[in-house]
Order: sequence, then C-alpha cells, then structure tokens
Amino acid sequence: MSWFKFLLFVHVTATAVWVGAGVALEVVGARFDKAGDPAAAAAYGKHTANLGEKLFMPCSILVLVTGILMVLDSRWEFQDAFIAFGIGAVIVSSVIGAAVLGPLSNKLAALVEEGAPASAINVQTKRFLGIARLNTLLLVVAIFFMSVKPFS
Amino acid sequence: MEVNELLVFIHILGAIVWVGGSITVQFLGARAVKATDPAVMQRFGSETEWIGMHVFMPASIVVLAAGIGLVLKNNSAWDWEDPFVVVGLLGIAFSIIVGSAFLGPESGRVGKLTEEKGPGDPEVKKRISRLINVSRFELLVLVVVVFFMAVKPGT
Repeated sequence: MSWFKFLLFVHVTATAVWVGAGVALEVVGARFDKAGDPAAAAAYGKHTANLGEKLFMPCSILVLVTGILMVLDSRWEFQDAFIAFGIGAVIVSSVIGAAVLGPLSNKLAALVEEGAPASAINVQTKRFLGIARLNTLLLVVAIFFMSVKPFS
Repeated sequence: MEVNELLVFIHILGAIVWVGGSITVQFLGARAVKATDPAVMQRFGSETEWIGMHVFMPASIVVLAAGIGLVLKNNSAWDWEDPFVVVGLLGIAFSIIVGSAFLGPESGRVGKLTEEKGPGDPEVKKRISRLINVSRFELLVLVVVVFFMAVKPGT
C-alpha cells in the first residue's frame, strides 16, 4: 500500500466519522426537540459536548493534516478549487464547533440542570440545532467539492 | 457535472452518513451503559432503532445503488470480480442483513425490556452486551469495506 493510499484511507474514515456523527446527532437532536423532553435535552447537550471534544475535534484535525499531506504527495496544488474550498471549510467548521457549538451544548445542559423554564431550553436547543445544520451543510458542500472536484 | 461524478458524490455521502452515524451510536451506547439510568438506556434503545431504520437503512441502500451504478458506468476500468467491489458488496449485504434482522429490532426490544425490568436485570445486561458486540463487529466490517474502497488493493 502506498503512502498516498494510506493517507486517503485515514482522510476518508476521519471524514466519515466527523460528518456522519454530525448528521446522526442532528437527527437525534431534532427528535428530542420535537419531543420537548427537558431530561432528553440535557442528555443530548452533555453527549454532544463530549463528542465534540473527544471525537469531532480530533477527526477534523486528522482530516486537515491528511488532506495537506495528500496534496504534498500528489500533482494537486493548494490553489486547486476543491482543495482551497476543503481547507477553508474544515477550518471554518472547526472554529464553529469549538467556539460556538461546544459552548452552546454546555449551556444547554447547564440550563436544564439549573431547572430553567422549558421555553428557555427550547430556544437554546433550536439555536444549537440551527447552527449545527449550517455547519453540516458546509461540510456536505466540502464533500461535494472533494468528490466531484469542479474547476479542475 | 457528469453522471459518474454525481454517483461518486452520492456514494461517498451515503457511506459517510452510514459509517459515521454507526460510530456515533457506539460512543453514545457506551455512555448510556455507563450511566445505568433506565430512562437513558430506554431512550437510547428506541433512538437507535429509529435511526437504524430511518437513516442507516436508506443510506446503505443509496450506497449500494450508487456503487452498482458506478461499476456499470466504469465497466472498462472496474469489474464485478475486482476485490474492492466484491468486498464492498459482501460487506454491504452483511450489514444490511444484520442491521435489519437483528440490530434494529433488538434495540427496540432491549429498550422496552430495560423500561420493564431495569438496567440491572441480568437478562437486560446480557442482551445489551450482545447488541454492543454485534454492532461493533458490524462496524469493523464497514471500516474494512471503507479500506478496500479507498485503497483498492489488487487493482
């Protein structure tokens, strides 16, 4: 197995874990939001914060590092549209995850633990899910650029 | 955009939703077992059953259909006998059968049983442990398939 193929395998697997987990969490989150159950919202907030730190962040770093190494080991260039977009999307998504979604999910769990009113919990849940959806959409567009490689 | 490129995108996206989602379920399942709270475990069981039937199952069918389409479109380069195609088809068939015949329905049954008997019940513990082991093995098969698809050994 060549170095490039090994990098490709790690890159694809890490992307699958990162984006697939994001989609699965959104589906579950939407169901919890619909159910309007504060205990479920608290559990969801805690699990999401935990997964963000222990799964999403390491995977996003792995995707970025293997992506850069693949460019260095191929005929591709950093100026190619799909690479520029991919790197931009990974960076933006990581920043959104660490600076917005992580603190929001912690806040959601804290609100439930404090016994905040259901309306406040609902507002927080909807805000979290809205931003998470935009983040996932950004990653899906990045996957489109990676698999179709337009303008190259 | 050509049909081939569209099929690649759909194939990859379907695999990402399927494999990544399954890994998330593993993480959440391990935390639910640790929590030993009947409500959390019951909720986990019913959510796993729902997501298995409504997300993973359709995603696996999309992956299979797009994969078959790709082999048909690229029959000059790829063949049904190519190792990565054979492993991919076998892996998907195995996962669809295990998921629809065991993992999905059993998650729902275990969720209900936990609600009735509590997480400390020996039968509940045994069935949760079996569920986790089978889903881990299924996930391992899927990761091997991803390896064959990405690396394409023997081609």
